[in-house]
Parts: sequence; C-alpha cells; structure tokens
Amino acid sequence: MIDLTAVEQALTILGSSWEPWLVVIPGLLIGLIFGAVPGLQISVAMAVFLPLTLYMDFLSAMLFLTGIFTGGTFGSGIPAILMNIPGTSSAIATAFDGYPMARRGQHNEALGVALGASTVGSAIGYLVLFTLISPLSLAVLKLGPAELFVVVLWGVMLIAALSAKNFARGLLVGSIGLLGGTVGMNAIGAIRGTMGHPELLDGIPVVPAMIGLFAASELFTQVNEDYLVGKAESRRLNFRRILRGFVKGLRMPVVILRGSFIGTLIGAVPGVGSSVSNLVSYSETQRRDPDPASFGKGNPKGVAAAESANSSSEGGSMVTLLALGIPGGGGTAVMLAAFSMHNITGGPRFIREQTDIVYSIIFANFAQVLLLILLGLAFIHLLSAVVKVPLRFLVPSVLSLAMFGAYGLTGNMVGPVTALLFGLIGWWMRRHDYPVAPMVVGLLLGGMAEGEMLRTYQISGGDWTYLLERPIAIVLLLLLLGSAFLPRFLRRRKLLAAPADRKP
Amino acid sequence: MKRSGRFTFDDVSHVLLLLSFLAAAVWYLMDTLGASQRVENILFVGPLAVAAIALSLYILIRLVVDISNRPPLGGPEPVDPVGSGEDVAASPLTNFVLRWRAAFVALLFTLYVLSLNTIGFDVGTFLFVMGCLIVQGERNPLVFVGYPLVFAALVTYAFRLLVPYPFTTLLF
Repeated sequence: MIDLTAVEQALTILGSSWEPWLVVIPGLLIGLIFGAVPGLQISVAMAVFLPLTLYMDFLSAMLFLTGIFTGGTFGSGIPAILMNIPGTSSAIATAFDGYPMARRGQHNEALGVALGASTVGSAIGYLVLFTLISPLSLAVLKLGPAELFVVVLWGVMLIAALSAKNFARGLLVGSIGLLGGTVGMNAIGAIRGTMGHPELLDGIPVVPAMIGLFAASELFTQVNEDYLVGKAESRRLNFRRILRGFVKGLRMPVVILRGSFIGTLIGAVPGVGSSVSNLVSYSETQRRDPDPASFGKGNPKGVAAAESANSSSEGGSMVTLLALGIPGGGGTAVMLAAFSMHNITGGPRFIREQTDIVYSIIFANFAQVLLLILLGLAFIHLLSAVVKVPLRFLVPSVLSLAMFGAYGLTGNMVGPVTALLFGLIGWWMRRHDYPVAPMVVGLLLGGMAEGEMLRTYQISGGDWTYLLERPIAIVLLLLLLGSAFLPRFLRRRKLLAAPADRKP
Repeated sequence: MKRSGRFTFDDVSHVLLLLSFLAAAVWYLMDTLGASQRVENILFVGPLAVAAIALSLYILIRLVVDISNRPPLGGPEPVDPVGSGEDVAASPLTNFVLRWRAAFVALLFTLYVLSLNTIGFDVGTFLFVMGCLIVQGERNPLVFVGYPLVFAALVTYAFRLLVPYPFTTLLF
C-alpha cells in the first residue's frame, strides 16, 4: 500500500532544497487572512494567487496552494467563533458552540480548541491520504448519484434537526433553502425563479446569501449592545488561555478522531466535502455526548468536532483530486487549474508514476500543520482583539467589509444586493426563532441535490426499485432517518416516561 | 408593546413571515410548472415545494391556535427593543431609539447597498459607517467623521488591490 522507495525519494526532494519551503509560510498567512475576513473565500484567495504559481515548479505551487487551503480552513473558524460569521460554509458548525463560548468571554479558549482540533484533524486527514490513497479512490468511485443525493439530504436534515428547537421550523427553512438552491437554468434548459433577471440564470450567489443570512442578520441584532463580550474582564486577551484551550482541544481524542474520520471520508466525496462533514461530525458528537443539551450553548466539544472534521476534509478532498483528477470543491478546483498550468493530469496514472511527488505534497503538509500551530497562535492572539472593539464600530465596519467581499465574489452588484436581501430575511427569521443555518446549507446543496436526483432517475429509468440494488444508499438513508428522528423519538419517550417515574 | 386584541405586533410579523414562505413556495412551484412540465424539471422541486407548503401551513395553523388559546391581555407589555430582547425602563425617547435602532441600521444598510453604484463604494461606505455610528450613540464629531473617513479610504484602497473587478468610486 505504501511505496517505501517513493517515501525515500519524497524525503530527498523535500530535504535537498529549501526553495519549496519558501512559499509555505506566505501561503498559510494568505489563507489565514482570507479565511478570517468575512466575505473573502479560500477559493478566492487561491484563485487570486494562482497566477503566481506559474513562476514556481509543480511541488512549490502545490505547497503554496495547500498552504492557503490549510490556513484558510482554520482561519474561517475565527470569525465564526468571534462574530458568528462562518468565513466559509465549512465553519458553520464551528459557530454553533464557538460563538456562545465567545459571548461568555471564553473566546480565547474557543480559538485555542479550534486550533488544536484543526491541526490534529488536518494531520489525520493527510495521514489517511498517505496510507489509503489507492483504496479510498476506488471507494469514492463506487458512490453513485443515488448515494450522493442521500448524503446531500443528510446534510440538510442534520442541520435542520440540530439548529432548531422546533424541528418543523428547521425543516421549513431548509426546504426553502433547497428550493432557492435550484433557482436558475437547470439541466434540461428550463429557467425557474429568475423573475426575468439574467444574473440569476446561474442561480442565487450562495456566498453573498450566506454573508447576509449569517453576518448581516446577526449584526442587526447586536446594535443595542456595547461589546461582543459583555463583561470587561472577559474581554481581556490572554495568550495562556488560548494555549490552555489548545491543550484542551488536544484532550478530546475521541471527538477529534471521530471528526477527522468523518471529515476525511466525506471530504473525499466530490462536491460535498467540508460543507457537510462539519455538520455530520457535530451531530454525531452531540448525539453520543452524555449531555447533548449543552451543545449550542458553548460546549467546546462542538467546536472540536466541527474543526477536526472540516480540516481533515482537506486530506479527503486531495484523494479525489490526486487519484481521480476530480475537484471536490472551489479550492481543489483551483488546484486542478494549477495541475493543468504545469501540464499534469491527476488520476491513477499520476499516482503510479509520480508517487514521490504525491508523497512530497503529503509530507510537506505535515510540516504545514506544525507551522500552522505557531502562526495560528500568533494570529488568533492578534484577531482576538476584535472583542475589545465597541460594537458601534464593529457593526458598520464588518457590514461594509462584507459588502466589498460580496462584490468581489460576483464582480457586480448582484453580490451586495443578494447579501442585503438575505440579511433582511435572516433578521426577520431570527426575530421569530427560525434558524438561518438550514437555509444556507439548502442554498448551498440544492442544485447538487437536484442534479444527483435527476441522474439517479435517468440511470434507473424511473424505476425506484433500483435503490434496492444500492446497499450503500440504503445504509446512508437509514443513517439519515436515524440521526434525524431517533434522538427526537427517544427524547419524547423520555419526557413521556418522566412523570410516570416520579409516581410512588 | 401594545396589544391589539389577541395579536401582538410580533404575532403579526410572525404570521407575515410564514405567509411569505408559503407564497414563495407556491410561486416557485407555479413558476417551475410554467417553465416545463417534464418529469426532469419537477422531479425534485415539485415534492419539495409541496413539503414546504405543507410545513408552512402546519406551523401557521399551530401558531394561530396557540395565539387563540392565549388569554387576552389589555394593558401595555414591557418594551422589547428590536433585536435585543432586553427589558428597558427608560424615557419614551430612549425606548423609541432602542426599539427601532436595529431597524434604523437595517434601513441605512439598505440605502448603502442600493446607492453603492451611484455614489461609489468610498463615499457610500463613509456615509454608512458615519450614519451607523451616530445611530448607535457616538456623539464625538471627531470620531464619527474621522473613523469613517480613514476606514472607507483604507478599505477601498485595499480592495482595489485585491479584487480583480473594477468598482464604482467617487474619490479614491
């Protein structure tokens, strides 16, 4: 499974010259900055800096881009914790417990836990990539549209079940989000929901919508408060508490291992990746915890579960990129562009013939993890200062930055206007206790869900007994139903049983 | 918050939200059916829209039943500032400001976004940040003019370097 000769060659390549290493620290820093600024995306950072890789050899180019990827994945958790604004969809579940921790004045610990879980998760993801790249790539090939459709539904169902006190409300906004995700021209050329606006032919721009739903709507609700963290003593920046949080994160091996395993596995599924893995990992951790009610109120395990999963997804997505030449998301799509700029095609042949280069990329990423710890500790200490900024400055500043970011994503006013509309909708929803996260996930995965369902229909010829021939799809479907309804059923049974227990 | 009969302002707002979801789902279903009635077009959207309509109606009916079962109240309720959820015992003017501050910021944000293409990102950002600072209680002119000025200039300059698209500005 592991080619030892290639391992030796990879170590020689990495040790013989310091040149490939020169780009790692700038890559990590760029990723941290782009991930941490609401409205800027990791894939945008990679795309902006892609032309620079033309002047690098292939290995340096990959180290630079994976550096941005690694830094950005962790960086996106920082605004999720400090401002309830996930930098990317992969950090949605990080905000569930990270933000309540920050509001309680535990922002230092929350950021430390996130860094600990993120670095370990990232290392495990690449360890799995190193040991299992061949069998994993074969397993991914076995997933058909039926399985992918169930995985997408699972993601939406989980988020609806997790983020709403009232399941029906979560399902409703999740369904509206999924419908919104199908706006535009579909596979058969039918145009739906565009209201005659050609800008919507490609669908609702999801990231600006996410900025509006998460950031703008949250900031509107903060205008009557003075600081993100109420108590003055809780606002203090404390490097020791960040370090303590980091160590605390490392002391949750089961949560992190489970999250990393889920992250790597789901990360390898093209198009789904870290957007779903952080939710699945969070849900599993909450389900198995002795105190599930503490989740969503500032339980550090929730942060560790989400961060370990989204960071390990990077290793998983690299499986499909390197072994199959299929990008799993925006970031790996940019890497694929770097592949073609260097006349390299990913796939089984690339793995077989250039194993030393593949291993070099993997080993360099282990080193990146160590560098991320150092840079992350310095960077989050700097960024924690945001809790000291009065909200009257923070609210308009973040809203303006987000609008610049939304414009940068679409290149026209569609981005800011989308963010505005969804910001107002999100604010209205929050006022009546409707969760915004299911709508975001629905918008993100609606188009994909429809595409996979359509492909399943075409392959099966409309015969639904085809599903019975897909055991993986059936298992996934049972898992979906079990994880969404079983906890509710058990809770209801417990509630019904409670008065009876109290009888003498 | 004044109650008119059994419905509070919040109840009306909640019912309107649900009616908006319902209307959106019905409209999208009709638009999809109008675009094409082929199975490939309605396979996903059809059942999903029906589910969204059913969920909206279910929550709406439960809400109306809950409101109907609530004992009627005559007097005024404690003021719940929009977006804060805190009780405030202060002058009517303070109550008014606190209650509607979030709405003012939302209104400023709407004007800001809709005017960006006309007055430019630089001037728009300056005016928006300044407006928000004033609405949120900043009274030092040096601060509510100086900070937006520096912020708008720096952000506009930085994004011009980072973002590959041209964007409207008046000054920078």
